[in-house]
Amino acid sequence: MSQGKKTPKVERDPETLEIFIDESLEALQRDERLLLAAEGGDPHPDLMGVLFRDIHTIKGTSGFLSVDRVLALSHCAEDMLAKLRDGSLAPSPMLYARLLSVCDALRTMICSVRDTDDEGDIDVEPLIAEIRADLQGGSQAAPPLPQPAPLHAPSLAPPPAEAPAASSHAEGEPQDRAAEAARRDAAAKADGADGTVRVNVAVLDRLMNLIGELVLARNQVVQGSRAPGRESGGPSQVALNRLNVVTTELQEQIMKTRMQPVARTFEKIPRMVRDLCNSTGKRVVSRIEGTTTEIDKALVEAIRDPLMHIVRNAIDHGIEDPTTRGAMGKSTSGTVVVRASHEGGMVLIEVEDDGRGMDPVALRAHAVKKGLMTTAEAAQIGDREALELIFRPGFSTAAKVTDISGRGVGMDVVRTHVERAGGQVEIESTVGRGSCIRLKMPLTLAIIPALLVEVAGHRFAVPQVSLLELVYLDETSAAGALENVRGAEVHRLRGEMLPIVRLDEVLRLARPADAARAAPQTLSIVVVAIGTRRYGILVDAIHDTEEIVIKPLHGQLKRLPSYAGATVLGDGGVALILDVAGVAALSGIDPGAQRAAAAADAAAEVGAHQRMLLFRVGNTQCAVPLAMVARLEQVPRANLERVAGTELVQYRGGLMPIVRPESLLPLGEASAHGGDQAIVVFDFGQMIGMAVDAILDVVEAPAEDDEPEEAGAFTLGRTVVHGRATLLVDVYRIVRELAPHFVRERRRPSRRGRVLVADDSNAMRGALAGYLRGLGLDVVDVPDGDAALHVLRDKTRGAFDAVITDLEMPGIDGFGLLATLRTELPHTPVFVWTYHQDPMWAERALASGARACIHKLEREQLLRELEILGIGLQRRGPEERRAN
Amino acid sequence: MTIDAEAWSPSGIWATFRLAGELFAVPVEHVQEVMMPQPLTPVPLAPAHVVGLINLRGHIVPAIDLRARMAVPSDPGVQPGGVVVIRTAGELVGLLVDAIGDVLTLPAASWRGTPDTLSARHRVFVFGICPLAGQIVLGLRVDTLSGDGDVADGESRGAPHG
Repeated sequence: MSQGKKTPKVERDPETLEIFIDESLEALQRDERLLLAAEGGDPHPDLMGVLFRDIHTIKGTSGFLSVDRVLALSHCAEDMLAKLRDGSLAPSPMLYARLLSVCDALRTMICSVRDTDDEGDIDVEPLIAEIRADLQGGSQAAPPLPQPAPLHAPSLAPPPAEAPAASSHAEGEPQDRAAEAARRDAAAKADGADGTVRVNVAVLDRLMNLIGELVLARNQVVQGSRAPGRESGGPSQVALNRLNVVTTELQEQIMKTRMQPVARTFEKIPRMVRDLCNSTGKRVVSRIEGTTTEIDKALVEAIRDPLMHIVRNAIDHGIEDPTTRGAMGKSTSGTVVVRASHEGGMVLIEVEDDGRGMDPVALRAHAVKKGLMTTAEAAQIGDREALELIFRPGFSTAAKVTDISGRGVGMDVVRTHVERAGGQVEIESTVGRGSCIRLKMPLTLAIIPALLVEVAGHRFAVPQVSLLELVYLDETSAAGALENVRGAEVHRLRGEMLPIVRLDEVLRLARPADAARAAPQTLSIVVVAIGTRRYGILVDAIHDTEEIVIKPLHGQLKRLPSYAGATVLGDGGVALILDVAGVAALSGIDPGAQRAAAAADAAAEVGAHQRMLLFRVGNTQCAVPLAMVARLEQVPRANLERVAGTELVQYRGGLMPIVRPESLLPLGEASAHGGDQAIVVFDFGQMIGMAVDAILDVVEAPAEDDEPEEAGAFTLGRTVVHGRATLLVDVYRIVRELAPHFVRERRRPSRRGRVLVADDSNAMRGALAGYLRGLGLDVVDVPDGDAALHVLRDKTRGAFDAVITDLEMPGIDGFGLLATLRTELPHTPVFVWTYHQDPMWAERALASGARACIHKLEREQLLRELEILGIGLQRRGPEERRAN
Repeated sequence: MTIDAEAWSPSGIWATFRLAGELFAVPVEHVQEVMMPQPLTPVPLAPAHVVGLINLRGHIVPAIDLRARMAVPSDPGVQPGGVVVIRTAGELVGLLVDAIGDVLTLPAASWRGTPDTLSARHRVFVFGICPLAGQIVLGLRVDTLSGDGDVADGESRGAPHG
């Protein structure tokens, strides 16, 4: 035991102490709020009165309880407040700041008393000296009597001894006590505290447990009453129904006792923002929304630290300093919005800033620098995944370590905390526009909806919050539904490669020997999400959803990552609650594995797709799936340029990188002369060309791969076409290897495409929108650029795959739209759709970021463009692919 | 050699049970209740001696197979004859035992240190013995039961405080 404190142990009545702590902390929070409001120019009419009363109460009780330094400081602050109240001292920002420091110091000491029964190491003397100096300097009329000795004596002044000292300069205090109490009552009423009772949380927890047992007993009685031979409708049945209803309501009401508005957690934010602004020199306006949203008390605790950290990050990393903001054309003060709302049985807490946003490129580079991943790995991950890098342990992006954040402990801890509380963290960010971090928390920790599943005779509960969907495959569709991609099982779900976890294997569940290889004819997959990652859990059977009461596991079992707790089911049995993040970790599914699956998508495509493009490099015949090819081109060799080690060619108003597969593949020497260079163009979000010697044919080829290893790392194997050995080229890997900077997230032609059409001509817009809708696209049409931006910025409407805009429109025209979208949505392709035939216009549009400039009569060209994006005629849709 | 049995059981009242032919005693202060064998829900991946979870009127309590915990070979012929639910370190655990025994008053003075003949692994779980007429009671160290660390580290622990 190392509590070597020499302070004399004071016998304090624990109940009084507890009330003192609760009351004082509440009062300090209120004071702080009022002081901040006053600092912001909106003082409470009786500001000094409230503050005086609060501090006076703290002083009185701390004296009674012999909490010395709290007493000394509150006593001194009371002197100041008395003068402020009677007007002999004028309020000033400096004094507000001083009083905020007093609140801080008092809170620190009181919390310390709560946690350790001791005020801690804080030294209040400097603060007291400052206050005395304020009093001396601020009021000539009534210089306060300096009298530190009786107050700061190390041994305690017991309350009777303290009273005369206090009364000597706080006017008429002793006789004021009764009036004081009355005033406090009134204040409490004004604060809406009337009609409430403080209840120990442990009592509520116990009530929750008891109600759980009551529900259980009720269920058993109900089951018994349904036994055959019992007549229904009798008097006992009526009583039973009543019992049923009352129990349910009782459960709901007890649940409610645990609910608390998030306001109390959010209240601290403005203060923190203010302090951060002072220490960073940034200007930030904080806005709090949805403070009445209620959440389980236990969760209030759980989100407090993560929330504070996220807000700190938003200011420290997100918001730019005023000069930078000014230079960018933003308002000089940034905005941080903290918002709480209910959504689908969850509490959603968002922290949104309008700062610089997170740059996936910079995040990748940083992760490499920190040694979290290799350059090659970094090049493979998509932008969304790059954002998730900030949750990796050891990732901290602040260029310099400040005292605010950037210490390398941060978002990973945030995620751990939130996930431990049954929640999730999501992140969204646009470079230059800001970031939004979203916490999705369950309403309560105590009772959650969960899905019951069964594996090898064991029952498990999967929390609904992690659940995305259920996939059931009957005998016919189950056959071949699980594919093995580089050692990992995946299921192709609407074109996405979903990693599959076999729960029985991960949890090493023994199956009865006889049932061992009587493999189930059907498949049940529970699709779950961890953040933006998703995977499927293969189970034997999916049962009902149940509202379950979460019970903690014994300390020794808490270490098992696979469980979040246990619960008692309606039949009295026990089921373990799965922790989907833990199960993923145990099974080795991580972003890396998913990436491998995505990269291998191409491989799987070869199997499913048998139309291939044949071409020749050197003297080797090669093939790629035709579905991957955007187009074929011949360009004069003279047009090929080499810039910074990358070969580029002018292509449709932009530069297209060219990769040469022969450097990676076992191919003969490619010919370097002749007039034109044949190029196979692939669309990876950015067009990328592969230089080949000749384009040969399009064939329906039986894809009989050999071992890929044998043919080389950048191939998917070999096959035989037209009697010749043919190399199946792994385009993804080659392009990622040779031109990693140009690879964006692969576009998946799996969804119904969404297109925004902006045109001020009703007829033209209607015709185009109708035409595109007829092709199966989801089309939103707007009459001008303003409306287009409004729709595109509205996050609730989801992302668009493409924007088609006219050039001349009222308000924001096509060029204005292009300019704005270039910064706000740089990854959304914009097509200009115009009657102008002047190449000047087209050039200007392309220079402004348009992907293509298409004449309004060239409808076919527009379709081709959309098709390249994978949202055109859906020819490459997965459904069709499977049907082939 | 006498030992401080009072630190283990101030009242001197002990609940006993049989396991693998021995008679064990735990202080009644630690015993929450004694019950008949209960249905168990296995916990995959748990340490071998945690054989399942018991629903104790809404509390979920891990059931500990003392044989596995003490590395006593399991005896397929013997079914658990009862569960002794004890509270250690603020948490409940259920001990599966062969048979529930009597509640005995064993004054502190009657306890002796563990004899050298006791196997090393037993000494981790037994803090002392109390010789009675016809049999020897082994005093179970409740603090070593639920931990899953190396059994040897129990050796260094002292009597519980309070």
